[in-house]
Amino acid sequence: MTDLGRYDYSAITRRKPLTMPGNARIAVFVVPNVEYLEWLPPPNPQRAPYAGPVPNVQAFQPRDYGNRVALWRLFELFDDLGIRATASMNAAVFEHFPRIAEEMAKRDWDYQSHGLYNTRFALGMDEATERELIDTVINIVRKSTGKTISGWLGPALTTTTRTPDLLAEAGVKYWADMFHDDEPTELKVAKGRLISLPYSFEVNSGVALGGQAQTAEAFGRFITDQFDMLYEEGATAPKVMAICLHPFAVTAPSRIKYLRQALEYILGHSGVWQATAGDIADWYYANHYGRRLLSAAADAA
Amino acid sequence: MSDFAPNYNQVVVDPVTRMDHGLYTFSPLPDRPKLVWPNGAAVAMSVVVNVDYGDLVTSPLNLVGYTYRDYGPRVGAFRLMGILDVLGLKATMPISDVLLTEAPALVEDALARGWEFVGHGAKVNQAVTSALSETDERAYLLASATAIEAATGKRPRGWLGPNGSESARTTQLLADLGYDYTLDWGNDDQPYDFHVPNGRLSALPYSFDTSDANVIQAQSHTPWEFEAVLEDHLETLIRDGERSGMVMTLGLQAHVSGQPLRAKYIRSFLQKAQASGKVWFATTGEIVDAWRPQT
Repeated sequence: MTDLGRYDYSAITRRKPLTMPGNARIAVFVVPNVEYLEWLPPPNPQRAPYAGPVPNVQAFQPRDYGNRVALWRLFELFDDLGIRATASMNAAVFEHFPRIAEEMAKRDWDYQSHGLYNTRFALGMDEATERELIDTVINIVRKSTGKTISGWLGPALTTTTRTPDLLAEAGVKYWADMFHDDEPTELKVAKGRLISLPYSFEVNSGVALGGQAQTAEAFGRFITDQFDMLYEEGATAPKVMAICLHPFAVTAPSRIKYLRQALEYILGHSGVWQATAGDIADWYYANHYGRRLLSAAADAA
Repeated sequence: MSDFAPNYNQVVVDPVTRMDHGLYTFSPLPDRPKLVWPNGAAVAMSVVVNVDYGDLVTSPLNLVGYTYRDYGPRVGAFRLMGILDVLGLKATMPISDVLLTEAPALVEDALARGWEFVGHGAKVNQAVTSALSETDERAYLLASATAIEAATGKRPRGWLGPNGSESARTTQLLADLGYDYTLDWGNDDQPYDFHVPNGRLSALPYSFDTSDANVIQAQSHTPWEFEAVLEDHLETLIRDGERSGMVMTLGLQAHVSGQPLRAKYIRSFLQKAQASGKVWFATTGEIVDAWRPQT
């Protein structure tokens, strides 16, 4: 069996339910992925940055539209709804566009690394290069916003087998590249500690509006359907829900109203803890880390 | 000199099966005897919950795919189980051999509910193909039966290849090893038998149209579109089933249909199917048992 070796098997029904601030049924964190695809990216040994020849003007544009236009619409929408987001940053965006860092810092957002550029993959990185990537990102975000990243999502979801060890060593609180659970998971790392927060492949505009080619209306319903089921289950065992967004995809003129409707629907419920990913990681470490006992029922069995 | 083989324009019909192979005999729907299901149901339905294990690929590292699939035995299977419990339904569970020991809570809970375990190969990325020698394939098919018997105390009666894969000789090997039926074939709405030298092997319909691997993953339909497909499928089978009993298998993967946004619609479909009063819910083995005496 070729195993990841970072967590043990655990059936969700065998765990003691999480307890959340204000006895919330669900913690919801909203993650806009603010990305930059390079015009002429350097090569990666394992994956080509674009499917065809470079430059690729059509592939380059959507993220650039995101940074020029769509993100600014998203700021306005989130201000209106009172959402504090966790920005998943291609850190190079802050170097290129300090105006974006300024606007996020003004709102005291939470930051998650999404690498340097979405065209610089971690695939095949040696240890020294990966360490350098992590340090570079941490430094850029700190310099641009005054804050330290709370978590890590690999650039274009790419990682290496040693990523979690290096993240723990660098003091990163959580890792978001895993899709195996609806609750945080404690990970085995060489030194220090690290948890994974549930990221989502379903409630993810990159997947739903990209590869699956769903309409924005359908994606809005994905968000509320996911919420409905987790909220229902959260009455007895609270859950964590990520809403993974790409501004260029979700706040385009034809699409923004569906995102607004979905978020308004969620925020209209009681027992919803709209937090940042960093808040959720802090809460988990303070209240549950190392103490996820089996449920009473499982103990008795 | 032609690039085409000399028989390229020839038609060769197996005189017994009417097919281009000898696996089973062609059988047009109206020519069959009437099937009757328990309680006079028009449709026999089984809910099939696949729980798969797949290896972590390290170059390039496939962390996303690995952890996404691992949602099944940790979370998704239990969500579907909770839904079926409320409705009082049992499922059939094709499960990768690896999980029989690696996911003990799942095995325990499925056993406690009387779910039917189905052989599904060691892991999803280890397919059954004609590249395997007969000896190796036989050992591979047998290993699942042995592993399920060790974990549950009962030998499995059914088989579903990892990713639905089969070689040219899988059906005869399955029969030889004592399997009663396979879910690899979705070419019918009723069970039928294969021609095998030893034992007896039946096909239980496992339709593309009612499988999340096809409707959700391959066709990219939404969860509510999947529900609509299932409702439409059932509506026609109920109508046809007034003449002769039909079979519907709901082909779910724990890591796909067990996701919150999809489970909601699976529940809703099953509630409607139950409310129709025309459906007999059974495990796949129970359907085979209700069908065989009628042949």
